Amino acid sequence: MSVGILPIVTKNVHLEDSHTLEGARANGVYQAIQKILDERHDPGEVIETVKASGLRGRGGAGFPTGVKWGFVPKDHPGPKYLCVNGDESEPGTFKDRLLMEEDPHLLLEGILIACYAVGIPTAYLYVRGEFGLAYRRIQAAVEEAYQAGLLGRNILGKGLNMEIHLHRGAGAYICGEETGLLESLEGKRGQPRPKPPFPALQGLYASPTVVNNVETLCFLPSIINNGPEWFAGIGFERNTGTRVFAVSGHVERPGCYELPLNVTCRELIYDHAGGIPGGKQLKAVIPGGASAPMITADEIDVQMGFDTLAAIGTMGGSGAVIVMDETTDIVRATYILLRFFHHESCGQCTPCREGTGWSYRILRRILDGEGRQEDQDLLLEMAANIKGGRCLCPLGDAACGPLESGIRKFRHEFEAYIRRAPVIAEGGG
Amino acid sequence: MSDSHGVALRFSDDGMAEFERICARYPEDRRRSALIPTLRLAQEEFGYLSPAAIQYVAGLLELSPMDVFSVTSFYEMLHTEPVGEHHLWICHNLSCFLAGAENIIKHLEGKLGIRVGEVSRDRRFSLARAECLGACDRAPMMWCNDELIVDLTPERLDELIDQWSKGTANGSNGGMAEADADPNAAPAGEGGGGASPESSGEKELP
Repeated sequence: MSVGILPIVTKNVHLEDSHTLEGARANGVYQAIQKILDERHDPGEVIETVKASGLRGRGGAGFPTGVKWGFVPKDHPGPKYLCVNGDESEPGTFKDRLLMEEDPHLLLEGILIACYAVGIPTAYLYVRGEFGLAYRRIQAAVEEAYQAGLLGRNILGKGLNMEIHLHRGAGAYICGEETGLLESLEGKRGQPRPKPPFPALQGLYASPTVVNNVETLCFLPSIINNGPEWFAGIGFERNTGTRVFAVSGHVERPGCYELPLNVTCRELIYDHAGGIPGGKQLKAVIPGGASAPMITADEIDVQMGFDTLAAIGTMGGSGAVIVMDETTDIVRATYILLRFFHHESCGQCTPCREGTGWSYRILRRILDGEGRQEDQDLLLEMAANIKGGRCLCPLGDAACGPLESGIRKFRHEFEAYIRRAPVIAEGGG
Repeated sequence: MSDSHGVALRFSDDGMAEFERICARYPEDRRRSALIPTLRLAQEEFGYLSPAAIQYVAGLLELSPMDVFSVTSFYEMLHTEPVGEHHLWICHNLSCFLAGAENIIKHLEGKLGIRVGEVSRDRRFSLARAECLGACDRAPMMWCNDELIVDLTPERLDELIDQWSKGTANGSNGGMAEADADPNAAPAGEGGGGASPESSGEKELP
């Protein structure tokens, strides 16, 4: 299939006024919902279209979007909700913020399509607490959309009713986990819920709820406009379409790159992000946000699809790619990530709460030159006791991503610290 | 329901109107959903979430103050202690670390004469470490005055802080500030307390 019409969701972000209704209309936003309503598409047909496109969630888990929608009971008598996850906080990730700031109407159109397909009258858009500009831009876009008859009652004169409300967070990584988000939206501590029941049956206010990521929703208009075959023709089987890779760290041109899922990590770093500054060698890459196990320079010919990354023991996660050159101190990088997970653990489940804290403190002691010979194996043993379904949510497992990969792939750096002869003298970075 | 001086706390008229707009987003029997946005509003109105402010919010939403406190304590952006007029929240996660965030934190501690976790004597500035703030392509960066301030360098920070010290810029121009301070601003400014910082908020870090 032609890749000539790429990028898809980021095609307007660099255009002036893309965040205004006028700009958005000029860029073709709201044509898909118009088409659905004009041609009287059956909601079930829209779900089938999204299933056929193969679209998978761009937030972290990569679950097929149409399948997720299909879990919501069709004839539920009470309210149903869409909760839009704009609580982007996986370290290294900054693509949802770009979409919310620069193309909020595209997101609103995606929300309209999702709500139409699943028969949902009310959407809550949870925006990360720190994203001031994104919040103000979406707030303005929602107001414009209400005034233009694109939200509210009798949308586009076609009898569709839909409300969107904004909800701003207050700083907690765990609220990006879908049930943590729901708790937070209900005015509580953002502590994830036991599953089942899954949100599709009992989500917000114990009602059937779809939780979708911002980028995921932004793909819907183009899938409606161009057809599911077009989308499925990009990327490769079960890993269709593009995604917005947020590249940071040691690259010449950090930024968002929307590319098909069959792009390789090498192409992303060297062809798109300009390679490593100063002619330095690559040491390691985190290919899918802080939760994704690190890969080494030998592994970067992997395609950036969900399944190809999983096949080499890491994950596509949130699409955040953190690049580390040869000067990076992997022990310190691992420490920084464990410090993060320890700080963000909600504290409900003992393996996560205690395990991330113990790991963080052992890494600290290794950095301080007080590491013990048995520390690496101790860390690996702890990881084995944090992960694997022992906790209510994936945060503990996520912490094991950098911990285990750091030790397994860069054991010599940990050993050097323990021998008091760090490989990277200045603490890299 | 009063502050330490015995003055009853209540929202301004604008604040009360905003509170009503917040409540209107949620079903009538789900007013608790308004709690976190209302706490943020209270923080804007009262500076921080003192016990009196928490009690006031609890009363508005018919919750117990302890329940409201337990929510407040969960969220990083809700402050139960006073912070500076400009609360500088500097990312120290991996991408910012790779771009030199620790030097930025050290520089700020020296410039402001306070350590991470402290408020300057004149109450203009406070300093905190943040986890990833979602602008890793423009690292190192920080959050201040509801903006992401990116591409930080010691020189740009000096300019920004000198401006803020004089009260000429509050950083609320609505965009993602690029830390480009006014080039005509005077180069030297007053710092905070003056004590030389000994650590960067995390004792163990070299």
